[in-house]
Amino acid sequence: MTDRYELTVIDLFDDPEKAQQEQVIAVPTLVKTLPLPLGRLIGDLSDESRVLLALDIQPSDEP
Amino acid sequence: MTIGNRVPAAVPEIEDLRARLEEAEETLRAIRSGEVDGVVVSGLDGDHVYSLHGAEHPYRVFVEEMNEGAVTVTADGLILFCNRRFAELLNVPVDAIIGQSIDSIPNAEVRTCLTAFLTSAGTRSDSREIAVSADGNVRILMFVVNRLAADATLAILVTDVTGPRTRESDLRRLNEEMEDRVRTRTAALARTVDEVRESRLAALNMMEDAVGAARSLEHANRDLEQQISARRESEEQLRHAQKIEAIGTLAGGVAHDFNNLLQAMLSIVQVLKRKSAELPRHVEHLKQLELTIRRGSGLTRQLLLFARRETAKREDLELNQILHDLLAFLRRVVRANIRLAVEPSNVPLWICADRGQIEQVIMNLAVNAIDAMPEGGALSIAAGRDEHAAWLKVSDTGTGIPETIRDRIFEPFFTTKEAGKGTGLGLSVVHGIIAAHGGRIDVECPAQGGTTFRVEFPLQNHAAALPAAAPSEEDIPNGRGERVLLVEDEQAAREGLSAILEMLGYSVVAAGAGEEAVGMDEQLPFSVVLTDFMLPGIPGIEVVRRLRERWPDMKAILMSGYAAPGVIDAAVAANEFLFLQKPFGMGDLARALRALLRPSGGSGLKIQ
Repeated sequence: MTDRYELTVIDLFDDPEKAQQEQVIAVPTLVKTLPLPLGRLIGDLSDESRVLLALDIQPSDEP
Repeated sequence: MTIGNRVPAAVPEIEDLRARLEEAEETLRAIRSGEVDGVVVSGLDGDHVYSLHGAEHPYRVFVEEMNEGAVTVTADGLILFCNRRFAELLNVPVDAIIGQSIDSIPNAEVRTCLTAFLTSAGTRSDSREIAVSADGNVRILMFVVNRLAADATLAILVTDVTGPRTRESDLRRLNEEMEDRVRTRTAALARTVDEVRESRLAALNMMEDAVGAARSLEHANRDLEQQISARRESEEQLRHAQKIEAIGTLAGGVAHDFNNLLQAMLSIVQVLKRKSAELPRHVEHLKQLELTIRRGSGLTRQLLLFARRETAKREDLELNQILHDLLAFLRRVVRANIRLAVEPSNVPLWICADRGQIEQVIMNLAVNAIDAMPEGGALSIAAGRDEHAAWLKVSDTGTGIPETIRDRIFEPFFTTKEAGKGTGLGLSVVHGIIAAHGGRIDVECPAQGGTTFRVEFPLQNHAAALPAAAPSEEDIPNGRGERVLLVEDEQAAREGLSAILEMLGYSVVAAGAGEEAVGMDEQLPFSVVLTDFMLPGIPGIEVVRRLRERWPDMKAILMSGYAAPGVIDAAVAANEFLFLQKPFGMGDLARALRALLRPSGGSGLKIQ
């Protein structure tokens, strides 16, 4: 996935308006905007398999 | 509204609603499960974010605020998290670290350390210390890693140990210094211990030497004590001998003076005797007096013999006669509580001996016997003969001689008498005399008590065993007016001799000293000089020699109160003069003078 993704980290304490735009009501929320469909993961991001499932990414065998 | 008309239009809406429901449920679940850190709440004045303090909040604060650096790194080297302190220790902003690979860490030492942790797979925990240069300072950081079981993520705690390590290093240096000192001291101590051990060994050796020395000292001491004791004994003997010698000297001197007195008395008695021929009673008294003087002479002879100033003169003697002559003397010595019995032999016992010495043997044995009977008893003296020997037995009824000391009784100075009571010389002198005469002495102590000394002398085959008749007074030859020079320092003796010489028909000139004699202004020669041997000033022999320078044919007679010394014997043997032992009688003197004045006279003669 190196260099094939674009991640934007938004600190809602600094910019609460963004929560409204992205319809985020709880943090942390990971929003997958592209490719469609839009996907959201709310809560714990430390479980990798859950994150991958939410992002609809198949883990590859390559390191 | 009918369901049939409205269904196709409602399907997407339902899908949308369902999705939103799922999202809402997901959000609720996340909130319930505490996975959510904060919620966004829309209010009248816009949206607000409310952070939710979960149960882990204290941990978060703890990790964020603690003074140790903390960082988590994934197994593939991605830095998931670090706290503020970690960024500070590396002097790098937190944002520049989180989400980056460990390769992006600017500090090479830290990079190497973390890489090493990653490669040491399988080690659950590890730690290492590295020196990190940052901002011009060198810090010593200790990294302690803990590999999480779930996903092999590394949780690393970093502690700044610069202070403790510096102190430790100081401490180590101090420690090393201390150990150095201890080593030095230990070495010194070891040397000292060695020295002490050596000196202890030396001390032990010295002690052994000392013990050895003490032992040999002890030996030497014992030897010395024995020597001292032996020395003391011989000193005692020497002192004893010196005392005896002193007594001898005294006795000799007394005898000499006494002989001069006797000489004077004898001369005068004899002159008186001849002149009183017409008074028989006087003559008888004078004879008694003369006999007494001759006995006095016998006593002085004993003294001289004791003092060893008397030379031995062997002659044929009859033992019974000697015993008989001694009897009067013995009676005087024997105490009242002792019975004396003398049993002479009925046959003559001729021996060749010195009369004085034989008398001394008998007297010594008798005195010993008397001393052995302090409580009284019987003393018997017997004489007899067997085939070749004349024997003499002296027996007492005293205490006897213990067998243990019987072998020693003839040793010089051996005595059982108290100090001052005996010299210890008696029996040794007896033994010496008997041995010199070729005889023997034995001692017997019969079981019933008492002691018997048996003495043997070789018998003389005396064919003409007839006692020589004493010359009678009628045989005294007179002089014919020959000039005689008399030299005698003792006035009484001089006057007595002058009287006798004149009575015998000689012409006498008397001198009191040798110098006077040789210095005389006499023109006529002297036929004979009669001089004392011992004179103050020029001695008798010298007087004779000087006078002979003037009158070479002058005859000489020497007389002495002492025994004849060796020089006189030699001179007599060379026919130089005659010798008369004081006191001598008128007859002796007359015969000596006639012998010299015969035409062929002058042969050496000793008259004693």
